[in-house]
Amino acid sequence: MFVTGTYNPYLVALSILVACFASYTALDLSGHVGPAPGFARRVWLVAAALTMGGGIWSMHFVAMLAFIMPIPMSYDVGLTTLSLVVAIFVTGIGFYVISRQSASPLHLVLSGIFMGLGIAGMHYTGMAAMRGNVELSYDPLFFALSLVIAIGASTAALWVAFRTTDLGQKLVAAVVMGLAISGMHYTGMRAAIFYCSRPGSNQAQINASVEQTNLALAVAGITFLILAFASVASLFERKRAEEALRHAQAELAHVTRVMTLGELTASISHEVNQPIAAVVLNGQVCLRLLALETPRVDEMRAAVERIVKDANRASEVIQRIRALAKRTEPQMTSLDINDVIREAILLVQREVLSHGVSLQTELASGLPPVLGDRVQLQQVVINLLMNGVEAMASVTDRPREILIRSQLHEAGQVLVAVLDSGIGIDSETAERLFSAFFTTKPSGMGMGLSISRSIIRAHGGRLWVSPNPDHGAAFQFTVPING
Amino acid sequence: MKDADAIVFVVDDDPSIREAIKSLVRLEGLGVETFATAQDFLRHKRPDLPGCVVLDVELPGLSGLDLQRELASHGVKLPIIFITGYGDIPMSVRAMKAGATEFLTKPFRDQDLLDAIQQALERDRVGRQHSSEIAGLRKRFDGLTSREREVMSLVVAGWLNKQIGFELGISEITVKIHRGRVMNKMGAQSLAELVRMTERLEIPKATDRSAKSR
Repeated sequence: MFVTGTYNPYLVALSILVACFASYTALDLSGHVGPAPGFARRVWLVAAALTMGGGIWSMHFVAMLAFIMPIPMSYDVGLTTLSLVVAIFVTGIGFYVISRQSASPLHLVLSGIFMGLGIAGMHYTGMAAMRGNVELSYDPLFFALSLVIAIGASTAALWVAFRTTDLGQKLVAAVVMGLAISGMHYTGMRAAIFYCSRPGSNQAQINASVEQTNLALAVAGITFLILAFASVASLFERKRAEEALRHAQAELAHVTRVMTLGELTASISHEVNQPIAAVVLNGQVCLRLLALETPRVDEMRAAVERIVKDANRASEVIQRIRALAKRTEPQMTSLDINDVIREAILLVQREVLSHGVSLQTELASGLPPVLGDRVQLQQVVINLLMNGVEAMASVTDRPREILIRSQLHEAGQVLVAVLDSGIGIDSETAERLFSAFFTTKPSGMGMGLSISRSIIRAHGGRLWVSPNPDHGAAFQFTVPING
Repeated sequence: MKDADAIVFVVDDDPSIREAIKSLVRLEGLGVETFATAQDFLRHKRPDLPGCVVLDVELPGLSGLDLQRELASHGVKLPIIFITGYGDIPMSVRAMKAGATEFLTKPFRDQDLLDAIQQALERDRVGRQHSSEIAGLRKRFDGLTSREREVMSLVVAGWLNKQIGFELGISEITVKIHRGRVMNKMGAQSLAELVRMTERLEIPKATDRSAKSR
């Protein structure tokens, strides 16, 4: 007689849950494979394959335990083990294919095929491991359908998973992959035809089903435990990678900052030389006043006071340079954005002036403090000002003007705008401006704006460009208010 | 302080340098006026005294070199001493070619600046004296009648009284009378002095006419 089994709905749900959780963890782990170097790459690949293969296997096992048949069943240990190996190995190939640096649509499809074959291979090997008083055959239509589901859904899941870093989308990918696994399984089961020659007793079946449930819970429990460990490992790795990225970004910001200082050398040296010249001249005035028969104390005091002021001015410029040249990790502190702007202007005003540009400021008073790194924000302001100056180099038919403005922006942000009357930017280049190594200047490196944008992003703000109504461009950025 | 007989105009956007130069110049017993921008200086009504300008090259708005051009285009002949923080060669060449008396790079020695100022003032004094003399000559020349001017131009070209009389269709006696009046009105002691005066006034001599008539 043909035997039809029934499903324990709770265990079915558990099996799908196992599939989804395993998929999430495996996809998460496989995300580390691509960027990792050498040996670490292989470790992550093996971990992803073990998780995926193990996940599929335990899903299958839990699902089989959810399947209640009126006859006693057992499993062949050898074939069951083989089914696990098949799942691990074939999905491993799938992950290897898609994690290559240059993943193309072809790689995606290929990876999906391997993934699907891994799932199906495990299932049918696992089915072949069944020992009992039954004969097993398959309905060819449902068999084909199970393969299509496995490959199609895996491909879709991989497609979603490998083009995003967004957690929501990753969860979607995990669910799709989970459905690929469980969908394949239950379709495969629908394809299975059991034929039994000697039906057993009902009592045995009930006992078996209780045992089966406990076993299923145990398998699922162990699987979840392993997956949880893997997830934690992945999380640590992600944190470490983020830290490394942040560090690299700070390094790059520093390098571009030093380069900017290099470009400003002439102007900055003038900015230091000017007060020093004033000190020298006032000192000479003092000497002459001292040599008089009746020293003019008031005049001398005034000259000495000028000396002190000028020396402080020179020292302040040097301090600003040192702060910009120093390599430090970003330090988020509470800042007055207007101070940041004024200090940046101190270093570039001579550069601005020597290009025949007049610089105006409209700094709103009473702005709340922002949370940011002083040096990096100064770097952004300097970069925007210098870009503005260069954008106006060819302008001769109108005044060369830069306006820098600070104001309160919507939703707890402070806005800084740098407006020039230069050649402006067409909408095509507008977005490309912010990508690394893109430049419109003959001598530019194309790093300034890309670094500026990443700095502002790291501050939780936004940097964008828009054309001015009459001439030139407006670069604007926002920084969140502290607290 | 004695009454200043010359004035130094200081144009620099740096208040400290401005004040220091002001003290320095006053210690020399010279008059001084200071300005933060070229525009301020242009708007200012300058007293009629020998003077010079100490001018910063890098000024906001109108630069020092722009101001130099502006003054030249208005016929102002004030000597200019440039001071600059950059001081590259092309810039100083440009300034000197346009008639600057000195080009000092900051920081400079106070004595160098004072020497330059004295030199510039001397140049302005000579220049002013020269132009006041010219103005006097011009005034005297303007006092001549047109006949006297005709006679004068022929006299300085070396013509004899007889030739002049023939040329202008008047008697030799009349020529002598005109000639005497010219010498008298122009205040010339000799023919040679009269020739020098016409040269300074840049009046064309009558050589062309004499060549044609012969």
